[in-house]
Amino acid sequence: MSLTINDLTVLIATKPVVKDVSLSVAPGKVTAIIGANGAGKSELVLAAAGMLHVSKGFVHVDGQDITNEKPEAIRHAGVAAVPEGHRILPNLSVDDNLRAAGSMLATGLVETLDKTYTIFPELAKRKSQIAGTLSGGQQQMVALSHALVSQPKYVLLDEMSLGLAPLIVKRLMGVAKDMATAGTGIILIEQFTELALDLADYVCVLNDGEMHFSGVPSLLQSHPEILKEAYFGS
Amino acid sequence: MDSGLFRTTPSGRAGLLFALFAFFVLPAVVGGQWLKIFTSTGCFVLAISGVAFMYARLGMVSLTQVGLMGVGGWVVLRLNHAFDLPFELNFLAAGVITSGFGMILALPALRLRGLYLALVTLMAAGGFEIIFGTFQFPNGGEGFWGVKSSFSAEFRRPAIAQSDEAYMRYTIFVCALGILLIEFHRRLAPGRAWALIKRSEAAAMSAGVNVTLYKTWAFGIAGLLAGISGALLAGSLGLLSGSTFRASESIMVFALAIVGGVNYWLGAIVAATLFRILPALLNDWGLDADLSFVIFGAGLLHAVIYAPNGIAGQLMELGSVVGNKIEPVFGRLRIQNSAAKEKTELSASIEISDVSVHFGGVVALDNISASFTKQVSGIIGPNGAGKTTLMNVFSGFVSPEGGSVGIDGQILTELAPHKRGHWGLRRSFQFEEIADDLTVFDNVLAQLDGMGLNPSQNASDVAHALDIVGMSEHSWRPAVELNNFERRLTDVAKCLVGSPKVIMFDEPAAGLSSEETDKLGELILSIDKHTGAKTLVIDHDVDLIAKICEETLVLDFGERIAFGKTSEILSDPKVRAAYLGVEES
Amino acid sequence: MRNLKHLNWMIYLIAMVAIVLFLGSGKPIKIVGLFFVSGLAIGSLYALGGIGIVVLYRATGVLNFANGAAGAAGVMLAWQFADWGIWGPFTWLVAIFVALIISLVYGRLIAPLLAWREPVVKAVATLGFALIILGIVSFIWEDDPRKFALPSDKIGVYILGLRVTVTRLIAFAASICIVIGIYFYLYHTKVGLQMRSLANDRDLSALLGIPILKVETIAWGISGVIAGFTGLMFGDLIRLEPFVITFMVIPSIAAAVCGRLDNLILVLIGGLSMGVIESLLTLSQVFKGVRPIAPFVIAAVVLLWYQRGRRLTFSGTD
Repeated sequence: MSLTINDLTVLIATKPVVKDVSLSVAPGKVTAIIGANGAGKSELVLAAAGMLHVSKGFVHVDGQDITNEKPEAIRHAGVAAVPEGHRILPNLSVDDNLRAAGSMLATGLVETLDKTYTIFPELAKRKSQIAGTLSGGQQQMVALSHALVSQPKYVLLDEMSLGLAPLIVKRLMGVAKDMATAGTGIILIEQFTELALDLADYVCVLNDGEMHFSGVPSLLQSHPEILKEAYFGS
Repeated sequence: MDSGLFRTTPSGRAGLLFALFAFFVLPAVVGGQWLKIFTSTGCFVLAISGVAFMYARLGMVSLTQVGLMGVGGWVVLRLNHAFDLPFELNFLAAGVITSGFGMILALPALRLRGLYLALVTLMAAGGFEIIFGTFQFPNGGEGFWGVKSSFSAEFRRPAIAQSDEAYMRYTIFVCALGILLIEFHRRLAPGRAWALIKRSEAAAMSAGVNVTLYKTWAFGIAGLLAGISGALLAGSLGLLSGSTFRASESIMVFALAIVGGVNYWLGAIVAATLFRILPALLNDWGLDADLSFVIFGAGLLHAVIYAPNGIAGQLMELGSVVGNKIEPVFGRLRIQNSAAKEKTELSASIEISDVSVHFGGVVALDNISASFTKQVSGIIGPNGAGKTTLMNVFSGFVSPEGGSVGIDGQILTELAPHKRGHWGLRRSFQFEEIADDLTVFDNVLAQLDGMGLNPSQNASDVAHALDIVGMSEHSWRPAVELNNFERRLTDVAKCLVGSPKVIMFDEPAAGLSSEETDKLGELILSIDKHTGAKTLVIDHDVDLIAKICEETLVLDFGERIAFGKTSEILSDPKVRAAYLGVEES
Repeated sequence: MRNLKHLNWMIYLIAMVAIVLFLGSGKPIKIVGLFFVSGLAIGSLYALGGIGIVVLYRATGVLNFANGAAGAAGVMLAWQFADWGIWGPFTWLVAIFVALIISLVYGRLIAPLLAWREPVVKAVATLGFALIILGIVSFIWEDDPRKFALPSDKIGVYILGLRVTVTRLIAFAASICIVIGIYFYLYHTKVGLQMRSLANDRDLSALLGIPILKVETIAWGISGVIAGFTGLMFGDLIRLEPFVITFMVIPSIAAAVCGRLDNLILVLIGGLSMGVIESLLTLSQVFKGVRPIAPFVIAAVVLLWYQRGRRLTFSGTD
């Protein structure tokens, strides 16, 4: 039982942006991917979610091959991706945003909506507000709720902290942690390493599309030079 | 200069041969009604080349060309019946007046783009159709509208082209002139400006291109071609009716321009042939001319989906008449005199004082002040910190609510955006803005157009800049063939020409390998030596910034969190916290 | 913000009232009413065409010039069947069915080939399809004066002393009902929600697990049915000629533009206003001749009004 990415290579106009990257996450665990901007983190997520073409390698979810499947099929297989930049459906109300994300469920939409609104009471108060008029933090909550309502087995969270105040980031990280505790496997992409290391059971450092380091967070915490190298160069 | 303007290409020579054939042979071998059909085909070649060049050079869709032809036809008929002027004068007046109508149409085009522009021109075409249908074409009557039913006054043709055969030759000659007019424009400053506008209006404006002027100019030329083509059509038929200039025909003409291929002279000829000759042939063979619609439609779908260069593109490839569709304007001889120019002496600093920018409720920049005194300085910060916004304040794409940016006694924020380029501000964008339609050389040259400098000096200036960046040997390659790094270098060369005072690079190393980044870093360091300009570099790559920038400003959430010597800045705990998310303890 | 919205409506209302008063002044009220009502009927058709275009454009990103041609094919076949003496209601269904099939053929077979192109190119491609249909239809039914009449033409209803044919009432009622129906569909059904989500952000919708292909097919279907119905009405109320009906798509697009290719209510109001103004222009000696120009002028003005205050068009934005 795991979401496994094996030897994944993604080309954008013949240029490899992700090169032979392998990683996996088990239910209830958090794997963090950190690295400087342009390291290929987002492309990795988009490829796993079916939005970019995988040139080489495969993605398996609980033994089922989902490489280069349609995004909706991947979602149905239980993998939800939250892309970076708090992407929401800006002209729809908060409630419609959540319902649209839950429209793929055959049953149980009402229960899962209730559950999500309990997690984010801020959103419950703003059900009928147009999502595009929410603050950045609230928009990121909607984006995270998109994943929550569909009750995925695995979630890919891309740069949740982008442009948000530290307090809100903490709140969102708390939700991610609860999701993991409840049994969801999480791949967490972050540029703020400290946050990621706190939460992660396993961490990968990407640099220039390649795996620069992978191991347990404590190893990275005791060897900060590895990180420094990935961010500031050697 | 003229060596470039009049350079012939294989495609051009084929075109001239074809024109000669059409001029001497065609009118002699065809007869009867076919003379008129060929003449009207010629008229549509002109009109279609007008829409085709707008689409190919500027990416603008005009669906009103046939309506404008009607304007030309109307004017020439009115003048013909009202005054005793020679055909040529009426003809020119028709061209000029229609060109004016074209420019009026350009007014919405200044703000609209893509689909909406197409729709506005379509609405105009609908309007023209109805006006022509209602008010009729003057056929000799009194007054402004000059309509007399069941009456047709004589229409005077040019003195040298009284017979149908001579008139057909006359039309072919004018056609060739019209196509040459477009080609000359493409080879000169307007062509370079159009290519930049097509790529990105923001980039064009920061390269000093007057976007308003050149867009209007393009519409004016398309209008001119439509006008003279309508006038020629009137001369051929002697009588026009409103049903000739329907909105649907305008759409058809655009569609056929795509089918033919908008990049080539042959495209316009193929399109006009399909439009005029095919239905006539179908009629001749006893088939319903409506079937030509099916052929147009299928051709259009085929062209849009599989053949972006149209039938002409496919024919040209078959005959391999054309090597590169983008031809250099200048001969190679031109760059022999690549000479270094005197440096700008700029001792003062770049002063950013209290700049604030809000987008809606979001604070993008909050009272930022900094004074860059070193030759190469950096601006860093995490995503969304406001770096690009600050650069846009320099360029004039964003007006700050408060504060100003000044250099060397000049308050930049007081200049119009496209004038800042003339003053000496250069910038590159996050995604390099190199026009695919131009050669490397012309891309760089476009930066100097409109500065009113001596052309041959411009050429040597460009050659020198390409030398500095190491792109001299690629000067004549079309930009579309370049790889990422070469495009980036061309972008840098654009920043070096024409006495720059301040050069800004927005993430110049994005998407480059570490080796390429090193080379770029050295190049940026050498800018001072060559031009004396001050350079600002924005990048996420802290490594690059540490190597080349003496001074660095660090932004986070629109606030200045540090400013000073780069080495000191990078060890500042606040900066490390902003980047790594480490909380201060 | 809210005040500004009210202000826009006020400007619109004042302009409409002024136009109606100006054109209707000095004419008997009954005549003005007659033209007003007939304008509403024509305007409903513009609005209907526009609604079909907007629904499709929002869900798929395709501005379909072939809607008119699909309607033309439908109504011509219906005429043919009626000419052979086939039962009326069946012929009407045939018309709608033909337009539906034509729309689906394009949506499933051709549109996917162009999914990644810019909106203008997609629109131009539908033009090619429109020409193919038009060519085939006018090849089969050569130029000949024909008349397509619905039985409702013969039935008149007196409203406020004015006789109005039931066909006009049907056109008007249908446009209102279709707007309400589509509104309901979009806002109260699952597929409607998915359609709105697709219109908002295609890529994100795909990530959210929305079955893009299925939703798009439904949108093509809806627009096809509307095109078929509009074609029938055009054929009855305006003229039964393939060329004319095909290019009635242009004023329909004008109506769609009034709603910024987005807001169905505005499309309806825009279409109706165009019809009314066009019809009332008949009363003016000066403007009588150019009255069909009204939709284009209105659309162009509205388009420029929407764009006011915008200075630059950066690459990639429409």
